[in-house]
Amino acid sequence: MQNEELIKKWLNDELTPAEQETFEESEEYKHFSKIWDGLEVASPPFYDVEKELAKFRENQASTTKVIKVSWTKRLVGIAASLLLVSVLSYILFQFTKQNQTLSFTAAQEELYLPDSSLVILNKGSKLSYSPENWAAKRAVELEGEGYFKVKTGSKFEVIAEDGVVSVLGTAFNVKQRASFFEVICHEGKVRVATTQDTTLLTLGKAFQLEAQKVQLFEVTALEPSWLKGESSFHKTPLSVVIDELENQYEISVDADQVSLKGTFTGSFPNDNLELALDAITAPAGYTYQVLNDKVVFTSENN
Amino acid sequence: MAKKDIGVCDESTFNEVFRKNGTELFNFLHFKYRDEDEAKDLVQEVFGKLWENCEKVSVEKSKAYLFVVANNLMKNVLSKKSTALKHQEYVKTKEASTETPHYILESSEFEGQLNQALSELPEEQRLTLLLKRIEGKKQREIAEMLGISEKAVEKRLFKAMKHLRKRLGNIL
Repeated sequence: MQNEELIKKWLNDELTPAEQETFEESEEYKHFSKIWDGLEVASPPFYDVEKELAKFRENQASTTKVIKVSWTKRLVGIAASLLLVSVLSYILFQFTKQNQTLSFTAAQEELYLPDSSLVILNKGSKLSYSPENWAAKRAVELEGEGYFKVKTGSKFEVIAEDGVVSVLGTAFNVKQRASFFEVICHEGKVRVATTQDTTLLTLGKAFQLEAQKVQLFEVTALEPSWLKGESSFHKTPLSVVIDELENQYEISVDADQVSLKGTFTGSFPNDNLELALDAITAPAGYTYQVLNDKVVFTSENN
Repeated sequence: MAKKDIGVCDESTFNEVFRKNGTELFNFLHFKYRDEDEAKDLVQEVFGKLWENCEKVSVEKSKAYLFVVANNLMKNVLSKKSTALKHQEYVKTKEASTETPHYILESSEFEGQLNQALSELPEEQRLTLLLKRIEGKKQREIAEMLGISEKAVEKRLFKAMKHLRKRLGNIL
């Protein structure tokens, strides 16, 4: 090909006026400019950005992501989709009956509320709400422990035995076990109202109520450890820790022979009973014995 | 300070990013694949990635992020219908115009051949050429978008044009 340099310069808009003139007189220029002009044919079709954005929003509302649990995402995705389908069919089913309350009992499950807020329930937990009243009031009742990722919007309330947690749109964890009530704010702001008073939690702040005693502390975790298969505690009474152990492993713990006066700060795995028992008993100086689904704690001094 | 303050997690912020960059991203993917549905799906996928990582990407960086993801995604696309095939369909269905029959014949032959020749180009060359020709991007901008050097952009442009010239030699 002739004029290769000129062609390159032409493509790069680097021709001097003199070169431009020379080039334009050449046979090559005629061909190249015809091709160049003809490339108009490759113009893309019209892209309706508003329509595509609406489609995007629709897809986001119905897909799962947001929460990163440590298992393979695919499995979680499939499980969540199945769950979503069953939740939706359940909702549809329930709509045929009037004034019903929906409730879910979980062995750690993800579920979506009508506004696509996400709730992950820890083992042995129960969540209920009324779908009919949902549009008027976003409120759920919780027994046990749940992690909430709430879509921004009107006030959202989690009603537990010992308090009410209200937010506008944020991520937080609520735990109500027996007389133990704990709220951890993982994003934004959370208001915790108990019979005694009201506390506003910001990112990384936590509230704990145990036997009428309020404790405020800070956490650095971006999400609750139980999402990753670990139960964590901060200066929590041993009795509460043992309750959680019983809940996670579906065992019963006999702690009659030890004093359960102390508190526990730390965590135990939810999938390895022996490690979990070591984690709890070692700091307190207990030993334990496992008999089928029963565990007996004994004091080493005995 | 909440994480979402620095990212694009806020819904209205994210929507703005979509409106601002959606069309350009679509065009980019269309240049590369010459398939409208494919390009639309990929735009959705790319924004899906941005949404997943919204707290890590600032508004200023979001455009660069979108094109990096688009570039990476494209490498994973498999089993596409032959673009050449698509092309024949496209030429056939092109709307009728009011030109004289002779001109239509001549020009549609040229357009058809040009389309065909474009489809034969390696994707990277076609993308580079059309970013320049249709979007009017500067060599430097294309280099940034594709993560290659300006020299490489110039080379691709020249190669692409050389191929088209050779391919259409008989009807120019």
